Amino acid sequence: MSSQGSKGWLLQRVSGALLFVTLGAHFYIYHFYMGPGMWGFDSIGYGANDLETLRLMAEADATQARYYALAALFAAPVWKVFDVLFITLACYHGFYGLVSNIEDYITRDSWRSLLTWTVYLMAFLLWIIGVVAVISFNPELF
Amino acid sequence: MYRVSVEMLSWLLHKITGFSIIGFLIFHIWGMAQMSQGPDAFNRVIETYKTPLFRVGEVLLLAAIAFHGLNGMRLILGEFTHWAMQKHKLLLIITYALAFVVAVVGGYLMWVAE
Repeated sequence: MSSQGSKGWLLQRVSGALLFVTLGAHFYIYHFYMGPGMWGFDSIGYGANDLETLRLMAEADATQARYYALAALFAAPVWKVFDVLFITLACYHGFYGLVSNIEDYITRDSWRSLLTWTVYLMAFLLWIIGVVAVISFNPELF
Repeated sequence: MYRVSVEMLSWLLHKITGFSIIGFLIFHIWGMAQMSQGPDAFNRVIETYKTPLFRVGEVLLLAAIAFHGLNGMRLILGEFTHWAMQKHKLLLIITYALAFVVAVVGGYLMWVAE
């Protein structure tokens, strides 16, 4: 479980490079793309039978527009898959980086393994919370 | 001497931004869990994010991510290609310049976007 292993070293670079691309897309979509402007074209909502309903609901209540824009985004399963992949990459890369630092700077064996396993547990719990939030998102429940 | 000190600064900034981004990741996923609980919960979280403190934090976060990502790509290039090792000084300058541009331009666009 040592972060000094060459497989871990390589995976940190691979996940980092993938995050460089996926985080860019994530940031662009949620900050600049998602919103009233996206209703004009169905480039991301394919597979969404109820896209028109969502659009009407967004127009009916401007305060809920962002919520229904997200609903329209998530109506296409590909975006749920993308977000799960993204959360996985982010949790792996971030917490592996934390573990590397613990191994580099914490010299006491007992402290090091305690902290390392705490970090792995936190990463796992956070991943579960994130994946459940994405998969369970369903505007029809409300 | 110049090279060593700037590379040490990059090494330090990479750690600081990395820790900050992990902090944000925890906060962000926790917020997402609340936002998935329906339109009212979603809007409550969004309203919080629109407060000045969070908007400033958002721009700082973009700066941290821009530096961490670009510096990370520079490190990967340096580890895998001989060319990048020879051009390390140029690549350092490009990293800082691009991170600055992304943070300022992106930060401005985020700020005016509402």
